[in-house]
Amino acid sequence: MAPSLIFAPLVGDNADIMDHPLLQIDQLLLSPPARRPVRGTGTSLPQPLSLDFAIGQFHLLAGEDLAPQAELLRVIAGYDPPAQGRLVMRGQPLSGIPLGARGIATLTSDPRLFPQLTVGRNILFPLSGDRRIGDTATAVAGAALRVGLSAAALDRYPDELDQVTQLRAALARALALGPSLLLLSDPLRDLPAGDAASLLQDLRRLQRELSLTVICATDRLPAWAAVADRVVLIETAGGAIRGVIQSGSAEDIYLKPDNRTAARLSGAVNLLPVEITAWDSEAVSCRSPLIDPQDFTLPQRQVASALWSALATDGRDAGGREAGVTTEASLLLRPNLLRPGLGIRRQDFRLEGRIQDRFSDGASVMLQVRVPGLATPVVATLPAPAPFPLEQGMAVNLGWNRGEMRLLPNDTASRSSAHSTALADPKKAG
Amino acid sequence: MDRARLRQPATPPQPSSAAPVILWQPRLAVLGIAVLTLLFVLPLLLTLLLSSQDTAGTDPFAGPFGLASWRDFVTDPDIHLLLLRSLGLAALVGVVANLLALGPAYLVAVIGGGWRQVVLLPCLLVLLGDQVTIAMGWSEIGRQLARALLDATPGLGRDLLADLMTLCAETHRALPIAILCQSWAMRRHDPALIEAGLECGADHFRLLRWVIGPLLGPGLVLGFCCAFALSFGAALEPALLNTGALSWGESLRQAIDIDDNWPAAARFTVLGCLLLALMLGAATAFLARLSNRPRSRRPRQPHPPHAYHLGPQDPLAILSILAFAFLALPLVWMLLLSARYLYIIAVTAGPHLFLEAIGDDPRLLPSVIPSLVSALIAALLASSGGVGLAALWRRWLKREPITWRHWLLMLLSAMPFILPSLFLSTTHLTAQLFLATYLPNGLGILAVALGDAVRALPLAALVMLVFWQRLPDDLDETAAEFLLPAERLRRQIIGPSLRSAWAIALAVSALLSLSDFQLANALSGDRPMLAPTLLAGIATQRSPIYLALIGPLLVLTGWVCHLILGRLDRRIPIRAPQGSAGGFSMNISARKT
Repeated sequence: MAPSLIFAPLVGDNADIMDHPLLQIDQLLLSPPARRPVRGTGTSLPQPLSLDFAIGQFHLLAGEDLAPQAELLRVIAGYDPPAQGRLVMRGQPLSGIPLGARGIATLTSDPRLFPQLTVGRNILFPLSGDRRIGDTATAVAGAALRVGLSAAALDRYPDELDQVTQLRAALARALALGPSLLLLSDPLRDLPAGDAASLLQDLRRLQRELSLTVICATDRLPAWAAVADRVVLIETAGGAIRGVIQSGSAEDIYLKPDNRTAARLSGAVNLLPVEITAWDSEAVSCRSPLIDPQDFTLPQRQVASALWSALATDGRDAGGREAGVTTEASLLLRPNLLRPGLGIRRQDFRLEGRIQDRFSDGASVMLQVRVPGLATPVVATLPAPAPFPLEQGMAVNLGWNRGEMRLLPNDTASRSSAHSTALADPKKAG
Repeated sequence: MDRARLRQPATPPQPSSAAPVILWQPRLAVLGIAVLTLLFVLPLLLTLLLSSQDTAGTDPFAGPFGLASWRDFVTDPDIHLLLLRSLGLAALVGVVANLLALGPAYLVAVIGGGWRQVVLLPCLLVLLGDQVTIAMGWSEIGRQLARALLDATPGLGRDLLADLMTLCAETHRALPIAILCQSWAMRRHDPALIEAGLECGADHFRLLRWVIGPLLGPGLVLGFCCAFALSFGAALEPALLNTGALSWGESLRQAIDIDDNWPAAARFTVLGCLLLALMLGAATAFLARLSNRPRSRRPRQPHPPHAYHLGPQDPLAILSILAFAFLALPLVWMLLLSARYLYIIAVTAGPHLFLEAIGDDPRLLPSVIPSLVSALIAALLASSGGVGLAALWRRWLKREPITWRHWLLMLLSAMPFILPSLFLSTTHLTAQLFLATYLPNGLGILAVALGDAVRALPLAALVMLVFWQRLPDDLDETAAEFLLPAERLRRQIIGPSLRSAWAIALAVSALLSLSDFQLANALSGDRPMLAPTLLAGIATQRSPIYLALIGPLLVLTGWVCHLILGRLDRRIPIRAPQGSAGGFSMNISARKT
């Protein structure tokens, strides 16, 4: 069964808020379990999901595949019924409450504006049934202003507007409902980078101004990580949710991922094979012939908890190294923490190699360094301009400090694609 | 936020572009045109010839021919009055049927889930079930109402009640077609917009008004045309319900059955067909204007497999319940009546005597075999011609935008189904008379099959088209890349895609043939057929055996309709025949990718 995830309680005055989360997902299954496991996924059957979402926070559900998470949002919104489990909002079960009465609004990459109505009428649509609103024109104008829509756009039809304005109009309509919960199914995925950044900032601003609870599903964690209060990494396989990988702040997940999948989802990675030679109750000793120095020790805080638990339960922790016993693991090095040098040793550790390729987008430079003995090149990114000329074929050292690496367990499912993700899909890698 | 702007298209019309139709099969289209011409156009032309015969009451096609009889016909004040009354009643039926159809059509097209089957099953049952039984249902309800109301309030006119019941019966007969037309129009909605509307707190009635409303145009036009045509030429319902005033259909029936005035009957038929053709012409202009509007190019979400919630407080729920109750009322009434007679027979005589009485009936069993044979021939002919007509319609529907000429051609080729079967029976009778006069022999029992076949032809074509349209949109382009010969396309794509459609088209055509009263009554001669036999047994003799039998027959028809609906909704993956692929993979989804 997947671990039940309760977000860490906040301190001080907010602690009582966390005692009553806005939304609780309890033992939820999106679709009935298949009789046989999905062939080729290499994973178990979908596990019931349990999650709590605190009030007034920006929650990010991130995974490798958007579809199952989008399906989870559809179930929360009430579009589709769950196969099993229940949803509780403010202590009240949501089952039986129809779609429009849940106080939940959804924004997807498809704005879903009514094409035969002007933008103004679209925003008015949820308001027109509410008799408490006296001056609807003022309400519409206010809703439009809040999301950055111009007054001229109100009299135009959705088809006459560009994608980002349509999304702003859809956001204004969604907020006009006065929702307790806003569900985002990666609405920015089809937008140009500039528009996406602008709308992302506005979403964050509105979320803070309105103290809105937002749950956003995405398969592009780096693109959304900056605005998220909490990130929940979801394991997906075969089009279904298999469980929760890790949760925490975006920074925690980036710097302290618990496994290779979490590391890969949260950003670009370099994973070097290392051999665990000894361990005790405080640290793990490792060896890698690729790294200078070859033998090094990592404290517990730099070892993934799953690996640490596995070592702790092995029964050999007290006695240190046993003859002939080795354990394989992966050393995580984030590309932005690797610093190239030309031979002068300034950092605690270094790799030696030759520049295989060099890319630059103007703001940063990405190096692919071929390290002897390593099948895939090591990636390093540094701000442009580079401190010295970096040409193809040049011998280079990649250095890093002791606190900038993390030891991860080798999970077979993600081993093959660990390096290729960072190189083949730079968009996902951010 | 100007309301007037809502009617304006948001963007200018897109330029015309004809999509390639590689799956176009000219041979099949020729087959469809040939069947349609032989069974519909030729009898119609012969009827036109007979209508210009000046001498009435003598031998048909004996001449002389001229326009004098037509001049007298169109200047007759009684005909004007009759025409006005019939047109008014037909228009009223058209409007009422389409208003009633809104709720059930929304249930079918938008709410979905199990509601779809709940609404479509009685729709198909009324459309394909025995006309006599259903009309008798209204007659029985009228009789009970008359007993209850007229005895209590003698001032209420019996004629008024009969007219009201006739209106109900004709509306009831038109309602399934109106529901199907409107649900077809509503099915073009984007489910994402419905979900957005529901999320905004709108009820389904509001969604019908604001989101689905703009899509309703073609459905309303087609639904009105069908309801109008069915009511304009109706003869069975007025005859069974004993209405006081004559309608167009009744006058036509009187001209044939009572006066034996064949030229007058031909004139009634030709003028009726002409009026309906004019109405279809006007409808095409509207349809062409609607199809010129720009359409959204974004990929639509699939329709959810479950039903949306419909609260009892929603005005649409009340509208739907009213329409559904209206649709089911005569069916339930006749089922209860039949169950009552079955119970009485079971208590008093027992099943053995009941079966013995059925066997001894001089008309019942002898009518079954000819009816089944005729239905089988009609079904085979309609399905074969239907493939050709579907090929033709598909080619026209692939055009963008669809011009008014193509709409007109489509509606005219669908006219045999829309046309009242009384008009069809007249045209086929005329053809028989012509053959009997100038050729060695008449068509005999085959005439019923041919008449039924041409009536079922557009429906069979529609079934074929539904399955054909399930092929991926870009299959034409994909097939074009491979430059496959037409014969191979027919064997590997069209054949497998229509495999399920054949069974449905055959079943639908056979049911339509078995349930039709007018054609069987007019064209079968002395040979007993099922529908006229049932009419004689139920309405004239009020035989307990017949009244007991109609219930099981309705249940049997309902079961076949249920099977048809199940097959219509099932998406069977298309596979080419084993061993015939010859290097061309029929994995369409993979090819599309």
